[in-house]
Amino acid sequence: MAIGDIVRGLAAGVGIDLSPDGKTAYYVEWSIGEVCKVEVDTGKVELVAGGFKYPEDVEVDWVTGDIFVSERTGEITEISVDGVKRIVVNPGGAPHQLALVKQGGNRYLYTVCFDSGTLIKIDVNTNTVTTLVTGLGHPIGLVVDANVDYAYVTEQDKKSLTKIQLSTGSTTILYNNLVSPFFLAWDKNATGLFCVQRDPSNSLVKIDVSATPVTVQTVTSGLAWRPSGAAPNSDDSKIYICADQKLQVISSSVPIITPDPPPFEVYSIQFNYDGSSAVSLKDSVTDAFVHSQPEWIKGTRDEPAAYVRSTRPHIKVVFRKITSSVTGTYAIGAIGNLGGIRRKDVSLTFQSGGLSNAVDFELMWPLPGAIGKHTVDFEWYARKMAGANVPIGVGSDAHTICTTWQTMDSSRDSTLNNWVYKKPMLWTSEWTAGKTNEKEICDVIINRLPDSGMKYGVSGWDVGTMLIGYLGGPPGGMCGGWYKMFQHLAHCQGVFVHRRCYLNNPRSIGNNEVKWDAIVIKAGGLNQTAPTRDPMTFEDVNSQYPIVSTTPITNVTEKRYVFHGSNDGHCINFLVYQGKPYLYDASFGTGPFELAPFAGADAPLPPGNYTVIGGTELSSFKAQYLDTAVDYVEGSLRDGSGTLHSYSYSTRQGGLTVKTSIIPDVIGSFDEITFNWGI
Amino acid sequence: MMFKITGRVVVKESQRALPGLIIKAYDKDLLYDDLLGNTVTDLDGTFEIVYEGEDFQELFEKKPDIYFKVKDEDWKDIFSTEEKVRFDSGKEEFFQLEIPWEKLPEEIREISINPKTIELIEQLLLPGNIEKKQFLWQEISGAVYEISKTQTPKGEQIFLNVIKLEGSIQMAEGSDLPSVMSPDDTLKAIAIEHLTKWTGQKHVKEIKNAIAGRESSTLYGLAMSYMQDQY
Repeated sequence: MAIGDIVRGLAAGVGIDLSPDGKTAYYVEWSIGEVCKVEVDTGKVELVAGGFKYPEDVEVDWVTGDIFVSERTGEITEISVDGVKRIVVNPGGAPHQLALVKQGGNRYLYTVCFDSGTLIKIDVNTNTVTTLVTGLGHPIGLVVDANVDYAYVTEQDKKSLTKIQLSTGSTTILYNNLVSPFFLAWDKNATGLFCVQRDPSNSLVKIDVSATPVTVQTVTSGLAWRPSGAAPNSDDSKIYICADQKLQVISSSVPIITPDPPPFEVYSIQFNYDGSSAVSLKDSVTDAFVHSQPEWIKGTRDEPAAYVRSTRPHIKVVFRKITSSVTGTYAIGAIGNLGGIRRKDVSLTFQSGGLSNAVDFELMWPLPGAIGKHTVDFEWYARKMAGANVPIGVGSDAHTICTTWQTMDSSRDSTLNNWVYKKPMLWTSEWTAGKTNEKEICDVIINRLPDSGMKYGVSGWDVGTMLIGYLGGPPGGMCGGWYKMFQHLAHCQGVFVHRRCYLNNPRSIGNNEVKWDAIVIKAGGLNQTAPTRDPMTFEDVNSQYPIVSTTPITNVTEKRYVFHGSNDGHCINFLVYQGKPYLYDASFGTGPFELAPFAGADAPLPPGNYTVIGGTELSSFKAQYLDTAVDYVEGSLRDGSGTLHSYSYSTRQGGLTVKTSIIPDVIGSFDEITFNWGI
Repeated sequence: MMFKITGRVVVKESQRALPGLIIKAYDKDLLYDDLLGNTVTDLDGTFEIVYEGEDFQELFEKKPDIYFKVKDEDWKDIFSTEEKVRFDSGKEEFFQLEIPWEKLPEEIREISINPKTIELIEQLLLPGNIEKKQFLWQEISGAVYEISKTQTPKGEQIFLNVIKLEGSIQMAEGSDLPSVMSPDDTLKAIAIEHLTKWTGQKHVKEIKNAIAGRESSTLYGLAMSYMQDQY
């Protein structure tokens, strides 16, 4: 069996009812509250009635022409053949699939209510409701047999097809391994039930209820996304499926629907505009906002957009006229992989250049509720509103849309803005996809940082320069840039991390000795195999401290980073998560290091106001982080024979380099390692 | 009749005063130069020599032709103005003796500033150079540290100019880059650190101007902490 599209462009289609002659199908569109009908052979669509809130199913009295509609909000509405609407009843509880039964000249509607878990019977003439069964588990689909003895119901909670004796209310589960079961329809012999299965199955199965136990057979899979209603014709040769965005037919031969040529096409789409919920992005090369012009312009521009997860964006769309004259009102919308664009009625006005005014549209569904980088495609359609018409394709486009963890808070640090650069947004939305807390997000960012291609050990002390590279050099920077970069990356996801720098605090201790003039690092840093420095000679003290006459001193010539003086040191980030400080060192791609909370005014963080702390105050910092991150501290010290090894700020060498890990926090009352902490 | 010579001895390039040097003043004659007097420069490099007219006056000479020899504390010759005699000097004369750094003995150089250092920093400070030229970080930072070793008027002036630098210093390939702050900010931080150490609150206004609008920077935080230390 093949699957063919009859209508491309539904705004969350749900229930469907097919005329006995098999020529006309009525269907509801949940998202825009409309009932439409389509000539299934030609694909011509016509609005029947609008103004519903959230219609779930439509049932037509094919004798009288009256139409009944159930709504998520509880109402059962009748539209008379002359177009007059009246609410028959409002039982609440979210009635779904309807079954019209005629008995003794009376009309009754049976339905199941999703929220209240009931099966009810509605007397259309007296407008009364009788509850037949309670305690169903989110029932959705319902059919009644010809003798009105039994109802068959799909229950989402139980994934079941349940048989209910209407006279007693007794229930029997016939089958309980359905996938997101939705609406039901009798087959031609009234012995089998077609049951639509939604995500992730998106299929139609047939359940033979005449057999004991019942048998289940897949009719077809690969239906359009979120199928809901099924309506077979009299011989089951064509089964019409109402899905979220399409009305399809399952048949051995599918009709070819040929729309008219498009009178206009989509020209541009702007995601971010004044009042938009989009996250503002900047291009690092031009330093201009990405949304300074529409992010997507047909054939010339294709830039990403970003939103906090679960946002339901509005967009501004400009159309370009193709035919010389475009008049009247069109119903315009789009189908797409994330639900497309909610259809709306638009009367376009074109300027002399052939472009329309920007038209506001809304995505059909909220964006995914998780972090991610998504390719979102739209297939636009337009249907002339006057009379019955085939929806015409008016363009297709695909966009990169990032969904972030939460809203950015730029008030936490004056270096942050209410915008971020495009690249970091794309990186972090991809890297942290699916992560569910701030620490997971930071952990992934630090782990994936090498994937950015940026390097440590090159010029760059601000985010913008680091992204493009300094004077044509490689992208990246020094630690004063990297701690801003890491903060920026987390900020993209609405996560705030603190910045801290620890600066050398050279102290003269008498006898011309100084502790310590410099920190010395052997690792190359992010995306570097070795420090970006010429080799220098160092006099290493690796095994014994304090230095005594027998302390070995090893001469080594190699590449090392030396950051010296009271105006240099190293920069890092902290995330405070569940009250604990976690240290991240973006320059070297390491972390998280869980530290004991620091004391003081900035607890649990180290001070940010250029205050010197050391000794036991740095115990956890030193043991957990510093001893692995910083190989040596260098100072002007005397060796065991009393000879002074004096550090030179001009040559960057001359002192003794003592392995950090062999230096105790305190000797006597002297704090051996101290740093000046700031931001 | 009494005559008086006053003067000041400085390093030519840095204008730093040179104390403790021996100054010998002479009257230039055709046959034999007359010694007018000896003295030692004060802490600010100044000196004064008073002499009698009879110390130089001969048959036809009524006014002295003065030059100097400068010696270190070990009486070794350092410098002479014999080639630049001031002829027909008056009763009171002032002399500024500017000794090139390279002529200074090693022990005096140590407390002075290498003129190459001055030249390098002045290159950096020349208007427009910061954008046009590339500098090796270890050279310019070494120069700034060199200047920071000892307080001198020249050094003070250089640091005041450093903190006014606008634009970004272009780093030459092979530069050993600073880590926390950009080269510009690191130089400024060193300058501010020493200006505040040397002169207390004297240059607070200039420093505040230099960091205005940089509230989010490490430079700002450091500068504020350095100034705080002076209160």
